[in-house]
Amino acid sequence: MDNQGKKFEFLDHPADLKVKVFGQDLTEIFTNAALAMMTYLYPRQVEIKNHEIKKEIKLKARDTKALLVDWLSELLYLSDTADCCFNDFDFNKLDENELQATIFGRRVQAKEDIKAVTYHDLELKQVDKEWQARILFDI
Amino acid sequence: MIEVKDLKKISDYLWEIPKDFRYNMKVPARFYATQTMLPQIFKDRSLNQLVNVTALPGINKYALAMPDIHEGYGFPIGGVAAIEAETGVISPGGVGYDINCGVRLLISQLFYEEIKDKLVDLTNQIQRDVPSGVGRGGMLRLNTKELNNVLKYGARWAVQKGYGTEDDLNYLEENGEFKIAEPTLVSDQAKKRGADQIGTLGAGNHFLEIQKVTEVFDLDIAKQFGVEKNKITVMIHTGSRGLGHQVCTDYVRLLDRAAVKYNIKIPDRELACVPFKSDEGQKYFKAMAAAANFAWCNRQLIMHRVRGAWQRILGKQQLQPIYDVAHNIAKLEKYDDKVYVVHRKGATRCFGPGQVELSEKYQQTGQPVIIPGSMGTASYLLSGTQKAMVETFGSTCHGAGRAMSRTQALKNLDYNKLKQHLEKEQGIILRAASTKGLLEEAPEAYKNIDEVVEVVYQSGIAKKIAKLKPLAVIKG
Repeated sequence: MDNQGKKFEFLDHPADLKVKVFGQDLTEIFTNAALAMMTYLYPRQVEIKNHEIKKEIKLKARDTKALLVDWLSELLYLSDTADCCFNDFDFNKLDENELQATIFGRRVQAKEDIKAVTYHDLELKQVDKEWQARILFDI
Repeated sequence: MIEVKDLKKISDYLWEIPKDFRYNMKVPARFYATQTMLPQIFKDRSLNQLVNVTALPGINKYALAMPDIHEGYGFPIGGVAAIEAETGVISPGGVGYDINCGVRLLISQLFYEEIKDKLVDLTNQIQRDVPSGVGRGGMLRLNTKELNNVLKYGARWAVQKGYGTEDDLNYLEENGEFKIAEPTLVSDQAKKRGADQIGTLGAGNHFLEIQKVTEVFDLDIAKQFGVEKNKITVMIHTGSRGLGHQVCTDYVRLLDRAAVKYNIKIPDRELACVPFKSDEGQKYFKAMAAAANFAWCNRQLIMHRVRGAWQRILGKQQLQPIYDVAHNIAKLEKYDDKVYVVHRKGATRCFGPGQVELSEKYQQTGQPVIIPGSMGTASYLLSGTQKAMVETFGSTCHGAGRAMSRTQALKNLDYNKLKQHLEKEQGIILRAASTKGLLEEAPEAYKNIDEVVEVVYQSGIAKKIAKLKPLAVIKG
């Protein structure tokens, strides 16, 4: 696999937003998927740290794919209701169906809108020794 | 993958994917299109998604798709499925995240000549009065009790608060009040996401247009609808905003877990479903109905603001709703004495004459059906037919349907050229908050609406009443 150190890439889709995510392990996949979503929402702000908001997230799901969707949905909800770009994530726990994380962000008005994170065409797999995910967002 | 050779031609406008195409199909799939539309349809995976729908337990006759079909998630956009309420399932993937995304069409008593000199002022006033754009907060900030009343009573709540008249409600699908709604089944998260968005247009493909009637196809029905050539109409296209998105997110999660309990096998996890009669199925149905009420109330409040702007600029309040239709919804409807959960995702109810659900005014004509075009192209006013009741569970198309991805639109289209084309060549007044949004929604990114409407008209599943040309477009 040659992703040239890429964290994620936006793929073409007729109506919605499709993202391919790369990572060495699940932690990187969950982090990079979140960064992809935040990059779409806050293209010019996503790299600015100056954190003013810190939140704890605890989630349980029936499998890792569902956990990934729940994680992104929770971030979307928090970002949408608090006008906050989250771009640092500390995972205290992340296994196949449970995560506990501390997330950091700063208040900023979103540039774009994401309605939801979908299960459609969702992929999470190991290729060689690395991980890949594919996620479709309704926009 | 499906190929053209897998299709059975039923008529010049209707195609079937037979039941034996894939092992888990419970019924055939059918879609409306002309031969020339097929290459475009085969460009994406919408027909595979339609075949997935045929696997839903309790589906009756066919999984259907309208000529504006394109790839979505779960159902394709343009998809319709009637599922037996007694024994079948309900699926949030058959409604989508923007619950009751829909369109309201208002008719004025004024003709183009009478307002053309005030059009810019009117557009600016509407843009000032109707909040639009990403995350833009609304005219109202509701406390929990009032928000619950919106979720329970929909457009009626707005009328009771003075935003419109009792008569308005006669011209809305479901009278703008889905009575089955249960606000307590909508999560606090969803309520928080929607609390300050009531009365806002939003972004994406949502818009508000001032239009002119350029063509009348059926004089009798047009007269019943109050429509005449050169009269001015206003179209409002928006939905349930963040509240609806969160309701769907919450219930896809719940139903994804519950589907295991009911041992339902589905080809796409986004089609997560449970028996309609189950506890989870009923909860989703009632929460979805509450989100639908939020959307009807939203369009009612926006209409109220448009009326205010109209009065301020033109001195008189003369806007009346012709109708308000939902594009993304699941409803209980009766066909051949059996009750079905009719899922419409990017499709419009198209009830023919004589249906009890229609108000007195539309008993002879069938319901008005509003088909918004893309920016710069035409929109259509159609009416429901008896044939739609028999063939498509009273359903028809909902718009042009995307032909080009947003990414391609951004890559291939030039902002200045597009603006020049719309403003200088077509004479359309444009008020768009986002350059990117304007490009993504360019007319070139959509199918030809004239062709789409011609298919439903020639198929007999809707009647053409009038064509509407945009004079001013306001987008978030």
